[in-house]
Amino acid sequence: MFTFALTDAVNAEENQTVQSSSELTRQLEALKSQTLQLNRELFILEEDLLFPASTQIAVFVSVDTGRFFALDSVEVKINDKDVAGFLYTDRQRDALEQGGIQKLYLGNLKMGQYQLTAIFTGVDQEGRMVKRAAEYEFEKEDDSLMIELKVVDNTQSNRSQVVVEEWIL
Amino acid sequence: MCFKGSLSKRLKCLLLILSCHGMCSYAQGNSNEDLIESGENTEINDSKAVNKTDLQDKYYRQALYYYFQDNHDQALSQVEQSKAKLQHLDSRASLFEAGLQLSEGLLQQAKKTLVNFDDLIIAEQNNQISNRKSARANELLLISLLSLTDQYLAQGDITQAKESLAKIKSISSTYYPQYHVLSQLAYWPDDVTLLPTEPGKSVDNGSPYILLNDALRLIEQSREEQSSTEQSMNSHGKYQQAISLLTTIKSTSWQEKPADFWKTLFLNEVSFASQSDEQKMQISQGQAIQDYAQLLLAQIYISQQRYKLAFNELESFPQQSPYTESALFLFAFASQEVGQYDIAFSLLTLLYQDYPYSSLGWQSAELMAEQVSQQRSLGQGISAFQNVENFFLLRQQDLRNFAKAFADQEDLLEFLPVTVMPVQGAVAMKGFQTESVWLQQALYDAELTSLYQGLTSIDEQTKKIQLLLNKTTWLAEIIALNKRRKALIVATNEARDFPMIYKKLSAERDRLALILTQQVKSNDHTVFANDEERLWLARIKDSDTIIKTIEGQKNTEEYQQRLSRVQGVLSWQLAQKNPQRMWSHKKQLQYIDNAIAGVTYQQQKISELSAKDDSLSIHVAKLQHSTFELKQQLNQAGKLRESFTVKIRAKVSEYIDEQNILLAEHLLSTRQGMANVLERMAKTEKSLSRQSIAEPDLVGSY
Repeated sequence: MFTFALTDAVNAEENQTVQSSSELTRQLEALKSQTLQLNRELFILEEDLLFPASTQIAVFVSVDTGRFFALDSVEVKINDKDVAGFLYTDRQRDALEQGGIQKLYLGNLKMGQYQLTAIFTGVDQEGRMVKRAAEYEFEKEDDSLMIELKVVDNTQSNRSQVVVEEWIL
Repeated sequence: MCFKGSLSKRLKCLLLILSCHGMCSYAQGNSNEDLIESGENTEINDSKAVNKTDLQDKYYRQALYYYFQDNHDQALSQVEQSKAKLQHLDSRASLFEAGLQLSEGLLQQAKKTLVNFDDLIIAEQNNQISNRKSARANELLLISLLSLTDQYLAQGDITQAKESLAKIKSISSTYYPQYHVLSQLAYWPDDVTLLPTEPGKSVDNGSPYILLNDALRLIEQSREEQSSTEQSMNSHGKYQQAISLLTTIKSTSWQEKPADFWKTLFLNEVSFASQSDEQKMQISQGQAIQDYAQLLLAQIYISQQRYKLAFNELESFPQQSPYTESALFLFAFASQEVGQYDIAFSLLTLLYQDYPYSSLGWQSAELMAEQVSQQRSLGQGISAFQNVENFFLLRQQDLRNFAKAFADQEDLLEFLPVTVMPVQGAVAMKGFQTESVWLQQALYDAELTSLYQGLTSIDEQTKKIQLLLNKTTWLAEIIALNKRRKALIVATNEARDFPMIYKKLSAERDRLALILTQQVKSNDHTVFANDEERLWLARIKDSDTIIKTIEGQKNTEEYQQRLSRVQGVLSWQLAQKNPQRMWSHKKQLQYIDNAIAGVTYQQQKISELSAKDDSLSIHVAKLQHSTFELKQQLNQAGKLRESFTVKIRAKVSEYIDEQNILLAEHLLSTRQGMANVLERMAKTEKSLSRQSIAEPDLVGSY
């Protein structure tokens, strides 16, 4: 006599053992949830200590569709001093082109006038290596400053340009 | 008193002292970089756009950056951080959070998020927040509930799965097939009452999974009815219905519709490196469905003893299929029943050689030996049974070795893990994988697989907790550094006697302001004269003195006139330049006022911070609390790992016992088979020897 089972029937005996397994699963879920919460708390603490709101500056990067400019790298200077640089993998570029925003730099500045320079390197539609840049003058006041560097497509000129947006918090 | 053309040096010095402490500073440079480099195409854009910022959108997109790199863990962390900063998330971000929670196995959290989702949508609509984002809210809620149901079913938690399904109040035609399948699974094997479809919309009830589940249900019901003789007629009807469904599945090409972002987030477990990989997987899935339908069809035919039909069905079964083993076994059985003994023999031999650890392989070995003893000589039959007996003895030894090795293994995740790198382009397999065939077989049990996944998760969580603990050590050092720095600043501040400096600074500023005011009132243009002009004024004055001295002795009228002309020109020049110079000095005074205000403000802040003891204390308290919680969690993780390990060992032990029983049964029946053959051999020899004794007597009589 041969046995042959193709269907997945759940009987009462299995239900009992499943329940105790699900208790373990719930405990594991609780552990994951608590870890996530603690991660969040420590992140806030770390930011408060290292980058207090009064001196904090953050620089973000976003990309439009990437049709006219395939991003390869970016450099950012503040008052001619290098503060950030990044080389993009294909995956990271895709993530930006699908709508993601990257936090490129987080630092501290005291109050006053500054000039930000951003240089983007990439490849245009014809496969040529090109650079796009932006300069932006800003005043650092006594609260957080967030600046977004957007690589935007210009369909009229068939080129990309860099637009700087300062977030209003 | 004169007002110098530039800031007083004393004032500059005072401002420098006051501003140079405390905060970090960046070197100021005014050089403009030339960004046009030879041989490269470069553009400079000074455009700046300052728009009102939708922070919910910005933070959501920061999480998307990680999500699109398949880093769900980091994406979820980002969402949590956004929640902490923004205090709440909008409906889109909430749903995204729920999807990420589901993918990370946080079902309870996801359920909580989804339960509150309706209220969130209503609140947004009441506040007239952009409906563009919440326009698809009901659809997204539906997708998330379907996903939640799917997850609960995968965990075997049928009650929760039914609860999630019950929350669905209406269903669109697009998601009806998924809803139908999940309902079938949640209420299996009973019939399920489905929600009505949208009026005017047709529903695709022809999804292969729906048809397959219907067919399986009919087969199960038929089997139950077949065992009860009263309902055996009904079972035939149900078998026919199942045959019709399976024939439809077998002869149709199935293709999944492309999924949008939300469907991919909630309902797709596997990620693909490229579209072609995804297409290949879809083709494989479609083929697998057809294979399974073909297999079920063959099983029905065998149940109905229509062996020829089963044989014909399985003759065309593909060689490469997830169901090859089962199909081979059925084919071998059908071949025996239709008298195709050579085919049956080849298949049975192939099965027990290629699948030496599976129960189908073991059955095949016995059947093969039995067939040999029936179809060929008894001697060959004995030999076949002896081979099969050795085969089972080897399997038993194998199983004992596995049991010992498994019991001796401390860390279950280190038990013969897979060391071969995955093939490029292949879909990345999640979960624990092993090279031990026995354990691979045991892992066919969903509960055991889930336990192993839990164990892997615990190790991942333990690593994360350890990283966080390391971070707390580092943060404690930062706090200690900040405390020392603060103490140093306070000490420096106290040593400098800033009130005295301020007093002097203010006095100096007031003095200069007074001079300016007086000069403005007196309208004396010579006040703002530069050095060269002062020299000229001095020379004019000297000349005037000399002229007055020699007035009595000589005719000085001409000299007087010439001096007056020079003085007039100089006065006119000074008068021309006076407004601009006055404005310039006023601006400089304003600058000084601003600088003093700035420095005063800084000093105030420093005094406040110096006086405030509790700013760092709050951080210290938070850090201590976090450290304590993390240590507790590490402890809990250790205990949980132990519980999982105990549970896994129990499950594997159960499996080993089952296999031992099976092997013992097979060994016993093999030996019984061998005994039967030996008995037949003995009978045959006995009858032959009787015949040979009877024949000489007959010869003798003639």
